Amino acid sequence: MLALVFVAFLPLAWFLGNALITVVDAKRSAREWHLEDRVVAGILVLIGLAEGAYLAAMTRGQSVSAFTKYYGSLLIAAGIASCLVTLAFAWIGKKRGWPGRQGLNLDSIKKFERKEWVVIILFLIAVMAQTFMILFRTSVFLEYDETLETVVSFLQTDRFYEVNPLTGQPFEQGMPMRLKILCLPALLTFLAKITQADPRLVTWHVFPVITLLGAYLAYVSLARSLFPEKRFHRCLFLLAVALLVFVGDCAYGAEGFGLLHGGFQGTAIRGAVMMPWVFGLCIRRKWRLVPLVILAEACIVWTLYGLGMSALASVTFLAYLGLKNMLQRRKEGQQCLNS
Amino acid sequence: MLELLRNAWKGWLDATDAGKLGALLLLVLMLVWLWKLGSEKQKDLFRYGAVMTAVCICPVSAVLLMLYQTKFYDYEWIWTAVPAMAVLACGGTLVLERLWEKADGKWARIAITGMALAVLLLCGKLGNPKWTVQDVSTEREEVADVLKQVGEVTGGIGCLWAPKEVMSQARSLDGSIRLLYGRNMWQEHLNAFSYDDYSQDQRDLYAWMSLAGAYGTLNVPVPADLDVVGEAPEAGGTLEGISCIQKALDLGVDQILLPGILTEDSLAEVESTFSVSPQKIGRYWLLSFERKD
Repeated sequence: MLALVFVAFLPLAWFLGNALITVVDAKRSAREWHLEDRVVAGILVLIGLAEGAYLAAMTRGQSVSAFTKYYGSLLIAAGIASCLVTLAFAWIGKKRGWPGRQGLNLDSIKKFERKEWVVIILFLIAVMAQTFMILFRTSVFLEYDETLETVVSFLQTDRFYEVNPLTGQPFEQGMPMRLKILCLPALLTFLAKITQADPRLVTWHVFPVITLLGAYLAYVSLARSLFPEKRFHRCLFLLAVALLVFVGDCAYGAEGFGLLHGGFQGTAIRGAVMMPWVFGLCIRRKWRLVPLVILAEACIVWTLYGLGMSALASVTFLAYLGLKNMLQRRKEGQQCLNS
Repeated sequence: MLELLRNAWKGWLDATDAGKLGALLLLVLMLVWLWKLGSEKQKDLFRYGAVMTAVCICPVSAVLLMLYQTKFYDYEWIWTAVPAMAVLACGGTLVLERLWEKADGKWARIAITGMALAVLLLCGKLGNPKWTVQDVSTEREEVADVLKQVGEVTGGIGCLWAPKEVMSQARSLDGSIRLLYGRNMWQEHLNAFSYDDYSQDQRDLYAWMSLAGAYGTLNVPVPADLDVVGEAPEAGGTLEGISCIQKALDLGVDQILLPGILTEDSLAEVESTFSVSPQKIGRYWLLSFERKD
């Protein structure tokens, strides 16, 4: 069952992301957005739906089972809505003559050079090694984390935060609301509950692999933004990222460390999936989907009333671009005056 | 404010101590700037990365970022705003391309690639992280086995008090178990997840359990360098085992796992005081009392 959920995850995320991107950027959807963008957007939508279902259940004091029903229903409803939206926009696009999607060009794959194949194979070996490390590792970084205890508590009591996850005793003073509203433990509980799998397996092994996958998709998107014309450079960029994940394993707070030892934590998902994608969006000047990242971040990591790092990064990037444009215009004005 | 500044500076020193990725980032930024590498989009990334790197290194601006992330998260997390991996990978690709162009022949290119790879790998710790990543498999299996046996003997575990290694794994193994205290007793950062605090009695009991496991006796002297979160028991004093067990019972404990190292005399004293016979479970002694819930 867990394997089935794992396999169904990618198409579901793609489906949701595809519908969202079609709605947000209908005319350019087919040509300027790629598979990796759709899947990452879908992951963020899945997080958002989980937050909606979780808040609906938690704020009304309902059970974990109620949350599971809400989230399951939301997923089905979102799936149907995505299907309808995709079909409707495809019909509208055909009528209005919007550019269609480029199909998979097998000739371009055949034209890969030998050096490109070498880099791609090395990259895939590195990703496989990391996946195996996460799936079969025996070590985890637990010093700042109580996710597994929280998931086990949710499953045991069928209630959200009725007991302190670390002791199993009822809370005396309670816990900070800003942590209580984060949906990641509930999402993990949902996965453990519907698959009937060991919460440890879901939390420490399976979910971090999804995070790793999401991270590489975000970096593929960033690679396409940085090297739109040069495929070999994109491959090299991705290989460098894969090696940096291994190298970053040494430092707490580094993306590599988060991915390999704490892929179930909100900070790891933010650092490795959301931030690279938001940088890619900023570089491509695709601002419309930035609010989605900001909202998704607020669902899993709470900083300054939901204004997280993606908001800070995108605002700073926007300010930088504004300053750059201003300086460029001033320079052009001076050149005009001089001439 | 001064403390925040100190934290920001210490955070940077700690970050550079864990690996050399910060140094590599600065080197890559310097090379792409000196050699004027990159397209306009890549330059946007490098400039933004350079500004944010400077913001994170400078203690004053780092403090502002730490305040932005509400002080709950550590210094390391302000680096999330820096696209370090993207800058390193993108800059590294461009630098490597430039070096390949300058190289004379295939073997020179291979040597450059090898050296670049070595530089990259040496910036990490090569599988030796500074931060302790706990190998939990053996310990978890052992604790799971102990808890299973305790459950069988007692007909279900209520509120448990045990040595640190059992307490740290028990809740993630079985959600029905209640503990006298959790991992946040010795992992201070976890206290941010709850407003609840431990009483001094609970802290004393944690200290006693740790010391009893080391000394093997019921009455243990309190060393001056006892490493506990919160107020430590008075150094030079003695924590008495019998009164500690009584305190635990008063706090609602149903089962106690004592360290297996305890002497037979100690166990006899416990047995005579509490009229309960210790049972050997793995490398622990189980004291099971009537459940209060």
